[in-house]
Amino acid sequence: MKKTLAFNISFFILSVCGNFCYAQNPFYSESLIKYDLTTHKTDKPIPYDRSFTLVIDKLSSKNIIAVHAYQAKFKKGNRILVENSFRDCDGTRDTAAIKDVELKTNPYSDTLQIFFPPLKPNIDFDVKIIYNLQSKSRNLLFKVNSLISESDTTNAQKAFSDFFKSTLDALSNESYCSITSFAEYRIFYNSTLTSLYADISNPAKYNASDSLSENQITAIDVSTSQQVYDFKDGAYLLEVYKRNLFVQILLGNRDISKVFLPDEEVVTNLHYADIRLQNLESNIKYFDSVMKRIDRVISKGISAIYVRGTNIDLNITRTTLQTMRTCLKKNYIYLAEKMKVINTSIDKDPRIKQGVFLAGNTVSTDLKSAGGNLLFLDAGITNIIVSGLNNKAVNIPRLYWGISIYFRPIDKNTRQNRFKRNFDPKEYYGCHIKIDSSNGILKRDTTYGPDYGIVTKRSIWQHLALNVGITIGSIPNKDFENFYNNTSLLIGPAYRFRRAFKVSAGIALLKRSSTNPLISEKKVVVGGYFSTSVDIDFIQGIKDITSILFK
Amino acid sequence: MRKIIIIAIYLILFSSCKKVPSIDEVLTDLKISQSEVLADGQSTVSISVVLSDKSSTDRRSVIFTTSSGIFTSSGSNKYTSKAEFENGILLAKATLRSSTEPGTIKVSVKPEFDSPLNEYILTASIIAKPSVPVSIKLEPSSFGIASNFLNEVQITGILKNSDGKFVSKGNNVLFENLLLSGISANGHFRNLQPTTSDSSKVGGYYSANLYPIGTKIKIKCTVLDSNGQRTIISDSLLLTINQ
Repeated sequence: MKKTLAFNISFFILSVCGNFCYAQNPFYSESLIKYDLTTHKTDKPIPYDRSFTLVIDKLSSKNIIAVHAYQAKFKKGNRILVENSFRDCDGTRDTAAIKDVELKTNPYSDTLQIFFPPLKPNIDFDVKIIYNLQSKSRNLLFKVNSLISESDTTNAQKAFSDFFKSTLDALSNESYCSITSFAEYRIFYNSTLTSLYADISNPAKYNASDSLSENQITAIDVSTSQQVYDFKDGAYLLEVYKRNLFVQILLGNRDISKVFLPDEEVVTNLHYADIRLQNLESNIKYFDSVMKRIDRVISKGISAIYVRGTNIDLNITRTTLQTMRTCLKKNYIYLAEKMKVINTSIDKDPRIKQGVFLAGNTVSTDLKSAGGNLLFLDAGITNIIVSGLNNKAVNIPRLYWGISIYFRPIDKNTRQNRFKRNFDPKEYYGCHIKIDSSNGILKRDTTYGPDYGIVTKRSIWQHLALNVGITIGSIPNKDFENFYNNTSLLIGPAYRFRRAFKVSAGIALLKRSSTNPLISEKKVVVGGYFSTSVDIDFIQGIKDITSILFK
Repeated sequence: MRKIIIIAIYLILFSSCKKVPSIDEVLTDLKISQSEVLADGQSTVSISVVLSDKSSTDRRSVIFTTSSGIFTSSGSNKYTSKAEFENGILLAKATLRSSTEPGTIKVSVKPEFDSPLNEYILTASIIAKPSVPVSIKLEPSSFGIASNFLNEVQITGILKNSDGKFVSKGNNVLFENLLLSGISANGHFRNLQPTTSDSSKVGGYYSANLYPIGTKIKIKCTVLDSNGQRTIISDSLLLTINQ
């Protein structure tokens, strides 16, 4: 019996918790809002206290590292990020903008979809979409690396400047790359990339010894043009032979398809691994196509061809081609592995990122809607308790209208279980001390955010309001009179529950006869009241139903 | 938070509690023009009371009540007076006319509107001294009278004090009918009132015995003292048998 009860309780708790957690899942966004990247405007106002999905058509959801939201504010006409003051683990006091929340994206969408939790009202926020370096910036950074590897510091500095500019957001002129100077980057290069580029630029690491003879090249051209089809690109091999460029081709310093272009345009050196990889890829394709052609010739039973008085064995020629292709492939693989390590090192460093900045707010655009979110009309019943002339408590029940003034904008259609009571992970501002689960030792770590400054948390302020009410009708007790114009005033705190209902208690102002028989004027006295009320919109719904039923 | 709520409740309760005003905050200074008055039914006493100057315009009426005598304005023992400012003082006034009954007159004054909390009444006493007769005046309805009880003459005696005003109730007189020789005329008094009332009068109806026409009968009225003894205060008149 006890086991069954325990199971039922556990099931209930898990169900409730499960639903709660599930409800906080970003896929349960209440609305979709489109963000136009060109105008930085949304198609409809961003709601507060409601989860939503921000759709940015022009941005890809791929290669996203993180999406962070920061609270922003306007100061002297400038939009700036809100800064937090905190203490780092080394004891230093620091002030910086800390991310408010880490947002999730939809991995199954081609376009970027960012899921937002319910946000606080009247806040401005910036969204920073953090990518690894895009190809343009990445290539510029490779150029920096190559120039450093070449020891061309002057041009490397210029190249870094170009790289940093490429990471700047065009509108906000902000960059998510926190390495802002060449000197700072040089430190990163020295510690991480030096050995890699040393290997890349070392010729001994590559195979580049084979080449074709002029007769072999002619044999390939003649035989394949006759037996397969005209070998239009055959001239590339001959040009390579004439200028003795086989080593450059095999190292990837030159693209064979661009062999007729001026050297200064197409020739690179060993330090430019990214360009060499492209060249090697092109060269491998070329050699593949040549081998296919010669294989067609051989497959037709032609094993040799007579060129300039010499019999050229096509099988030997094919073997030479095969050896050169293998060299190309080996060199390509070697370079690709090095580049992979370089890319990983760059991507691993949180300082070398690229970002797109979005701006949003949950600020009411006009006073009417701002007021509509703060002031709500209620109707209900109240019981005023006041001391009578004979010093005994007098109960005066009355109907009343009330205005609830909230201390923050309220979306009265939201339910409180949409808001989290506690965040996971917890709020972190600075030094974060946690116990290492493996050895149980306290571990200190400076963590910057999230501080959840813009995220709605379940709090009393979503329910607490100042109730200002006026009673309806005259008071039957002759010792008392309404406070003003046949109404008595009720002022006190109110608590909203179940969205539409409210309880309130506070002070009531009304008039009471004087104890002096010579004074007829009633004096204002303070009493207490307790009231229950219903939101007027809720009553309006009931009224609509009853009007249909009793038409 | 809990303390704040408790303090707030106390503040509300205390702020709504009220102080019961004392009599001084309502009525003060009940004044009587004289502490003693003759119980002659004609003498008057002025009474005044001061009301709080904070009184509302429609609450400035007070009710004077007396245990004896009447208020001249109302003609009864109660009088509602509206207070008016005199030299910056809110004053309600009344004039009490004494009765003819000696004793202590209790005068009280209270606001017209009652308070559910307290009774606001000021009282004062006036000694009503007896109005002692010093003279009596007899008046007949006719100086001629028929013999053998054929008709009646109304005899009225009015007693006056030294001020010429009425005397108090309860002064006794003695009526006598005499022939000029000094012997009793043996006439008959009917409905004789030998004791003074509110109007300070005594009297009755007199009819004569059988006498010859022209016989004179003396009607004499003597004021008696508290012991029933004759005083020197008396008056007489002569009636003549005329048929």
